[in-house]
Order: sequence, then structure tokens, then C-alpha cells
Amino acid sequence: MHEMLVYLALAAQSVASAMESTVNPLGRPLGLIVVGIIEAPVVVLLLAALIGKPRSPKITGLFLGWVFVMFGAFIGAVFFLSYLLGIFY
Amino acid sequence: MTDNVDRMLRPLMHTSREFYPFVAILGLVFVVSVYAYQQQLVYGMGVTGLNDVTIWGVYIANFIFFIGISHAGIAVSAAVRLLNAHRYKPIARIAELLTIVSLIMAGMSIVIDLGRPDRAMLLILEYANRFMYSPLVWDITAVATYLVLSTTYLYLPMRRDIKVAMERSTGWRARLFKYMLPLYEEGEEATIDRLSFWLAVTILPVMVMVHTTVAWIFSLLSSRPLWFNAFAGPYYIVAAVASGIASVMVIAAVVRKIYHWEDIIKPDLFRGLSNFTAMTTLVYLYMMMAEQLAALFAGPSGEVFVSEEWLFGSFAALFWLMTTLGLVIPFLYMLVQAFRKDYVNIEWTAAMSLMLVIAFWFKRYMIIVPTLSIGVQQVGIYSPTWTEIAILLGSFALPLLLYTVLTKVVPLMELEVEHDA
Repeated sequence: MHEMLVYLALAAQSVASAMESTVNPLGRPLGLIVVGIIEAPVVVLLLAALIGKPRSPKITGLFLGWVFVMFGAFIGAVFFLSYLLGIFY
Repeated sequence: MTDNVDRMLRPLMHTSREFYPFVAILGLVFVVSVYAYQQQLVYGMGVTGLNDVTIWGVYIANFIFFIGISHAGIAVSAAVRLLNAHRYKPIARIAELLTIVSLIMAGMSIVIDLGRPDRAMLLILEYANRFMYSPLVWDITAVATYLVLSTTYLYLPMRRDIKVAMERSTGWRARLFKYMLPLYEEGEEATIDRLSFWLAVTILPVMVMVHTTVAWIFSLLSSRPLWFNAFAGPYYIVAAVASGIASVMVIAAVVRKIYHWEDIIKPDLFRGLSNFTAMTTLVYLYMMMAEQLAALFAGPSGEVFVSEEWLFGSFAALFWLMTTLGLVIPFLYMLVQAFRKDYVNIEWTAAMSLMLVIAFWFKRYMIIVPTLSIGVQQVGIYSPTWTEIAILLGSFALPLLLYTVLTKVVPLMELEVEHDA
């Protein structure tokens, strides 16, 4: 009986911890902080490109265009590969 | 001066007879690997040695390896720009190209490892729901950002060299270079120099985050012995820098020999890189010792078990071979060389660097396989099948092929080097 109660308590404890882990108040902002740290330099770079001197609208446009096209190419490549390899399923 | 510029542009303008058989052999290996991958797609992951216990193997080892190699390009190039380390300028672009090719291969390694690669798009479709919790999604974010910034960092300063190459070429080459130079305007160099400086400043923290998030994929899993580790980030970064710089030395030595650039890529450049690699290898050996000591001395039972398997058990032969031949001997060679005044043997330095690179691949294998196959004291024997080995060979042939082809499209050296000289 005693062992049964211990097992039940342990099972309840593991269920509670599993449920809590998805709404962990420390876990949620952690992802935001990490992605923020990764992308913060990009924000600095874009600001430097837009307000720094010497400046050329043509080259700044080329730079921003290149960055956005490359991001698009990355996302496009993921989708393209997904569809291409999907023909095997 | 003109003669020097022509020599630097020679890879673009002339193709040797050896180029074609080399490309053909690499292409053949790649085709075989595509066939192996097709088998994996058709028959599923059952054709690999992976199983319910050992869910990751050589593909993920490859992923960490290529992410590591990709650090070299930006490390060298940013050092040139931010620290005014001009003597490394001749190899800056060689290293940048290596970064981009390695990042492409790292991404492909992940796709190859997926049992259902057609679902890869979920990474993007479900991004908003996943990035809060998943180190894998953080890593994809970092790798994508790093790839975009690296290609920008390669392309912008290269425009002036493409202009020179266009002026000196005719026919299809001139047309190709013209397409590679959209929106060109006279005097754009000052703006591009400013943008390149800021790119160098901002790309360094992204580079650090790329390998930190790779480390977190493993080190935030508390139930896996030898993965759960607070210093995994720095540990992985040191390995990345050492293996990346070693790769640059290998490629620089080969390029120097093929194009007779002995007077441009000077021996003191190898000496500097070799000294730096020796230092990072020593730091890595120290971290490895600290990791094993902590695991053996007071680790939980799983850590003790895996650590004993590394050092004395079923993985001991691989571990000690990798450590002595691949890490300690190259380190000692580079250390002795560092103490000999004005001495550097480029061939031996390149050979030792190659041994380091190979050792670091096996180190990544050691990170993955023992922990998964025996880490939770289950029997999950893992042995790569011919499918995995063929894909693995292809994953080394493809970057070589890409790199070789890119040398015909991209000026391998900043022509400013010539002006500096």
C-alpha cells in the first residue's frame, strides 16, 4: 500500500512537472532572449547601413536587396527541398 | 603590377588539364552518394545503421563538423578588417569561400538526417510556435543569419575585383562578370568599405552564437551523459576555430602550390596561423581533460559509464588514436615550429593541419555515438552502413566540387593585396 502511494505520488509529480515545463516562466523568455541576441547584430547592421556615411542610395539598396534575397533564398530552398523530396512519399 | 593582377586572376581565366579529371572524380563520388540517398528516401532510415536507441550518427557528426569549419572564414577575414592584420589578406577570400561552402553542407547534413525531409518546411511554418523552446530552432535561426551575412560579406568587397576581372576578360566570361555586377557605380568603394566594416563587426557575435546554439542542441539535454555541460558553448567554439583555421591552412597550401603564389601567400602567414592553431588545440585538450576528469571523478553513473567507455572501453581505440595522432602530435609539431625562429615548413604544417581536421571529425562522432548508443546503458550498437558511408563520402566530395567550381567564378584573392604590396 505504501509503495503504491509512493508510485502514485511520483507519477503525479512527473505529470505536473511535464505540464509545467511547457509553461515554464523561465523557459518562455529564454527563446526570445536567444533569438534576440542572434538577430540584434542584424538590427545594428541595418541601422549602420541606413544612417552611416559615406552613403549611396544605389549601394544601400543593393545591400538591403541582397540581404533580403538571400533570406528569401534560404527559406525558398527549404520549401523547394521539402516539395522535391516529397515526391518519394 | 599588371603582371601580378593577371596572376591573381589566373584561376578565373585559365583552366588546367588536371581540372577536368579532378572535377569528374568528385562528380562521380557525388553521383554515387545521390544514389545512396535515393535508396534512403525510398526504403527509409532502415537502410542506415541508425536505430531507436542511436538516433543520430555520421550525418549529425558531419553537421557539427561543417558548422565548425565555417568559423574559419569569418574569423580570418574579420581579423584582417578589424585588427588590420593585413598579412592575412591573401587568404581572406579563400577562407570566406570555405565558410559559405561549409554552411551549405551543414544545412544539407540536417536534411539528409531527416527521416521525412518533406516535412522540413514545418521548421518555417511552425517557427513562431517553436522558437520559444527549441535549441534546434535557435540554431537554424543562427545558421540562416550567418549564411546570409557571410554571402553578403563575401560579395560586397568582391565587386571591385569582379570589375577588374570583367575589364580583363572577353566573351562569355565578360558577360558572366557583368551579370555579377548589377547597379555598379564609380566610386562605390567607400560605401562598400563602410558596409563591410559593419558586416565584420556584426558577423562575429552571430558566428559565436551559431556554434553556441549547436552546442545547446546537445548540452541542454540533461538526461544524456557527457552532453549536459555548462561550458559546451566555449568548448565547441574552440574546436570550431581550431578545425576551421586548420582547414584554411590546408586549402591555402594547395592553392599556393597549384597557382604558384609562393610570393603572395608567404610562409609567415602559415607560421601565424599555425601558432594560433597550436594555442587553440592546447585549450581544447585542456577542456577535454576537464570534461573527462569531472565525469570520472564525481559524475552521475551514466557519465562515469560513458567516460570509461571513451577512455578504456569499446571506443578507447578510436579515442586514443584521435587524441594522439590527430590532436597531440599536430599540437607538438606546431609548438616546436613556433619556438624555432623564422622557421616554417608549409608542407608539414598543412599535413598536420589535415590530421587535426580529420581528428575533429572523429571527435564530433565521439560526441554523438557513444552517448546515444550506450549512454543510457542500453544496447544500441551503431555501425554505419554502406548507404551512410556513400553519403558521407559524397558530403566531402560535394564541398570540394563546389569550391573547385567557385574558383572559376570568384576571384580567389582580393586584388588590393597587390596594391598593398
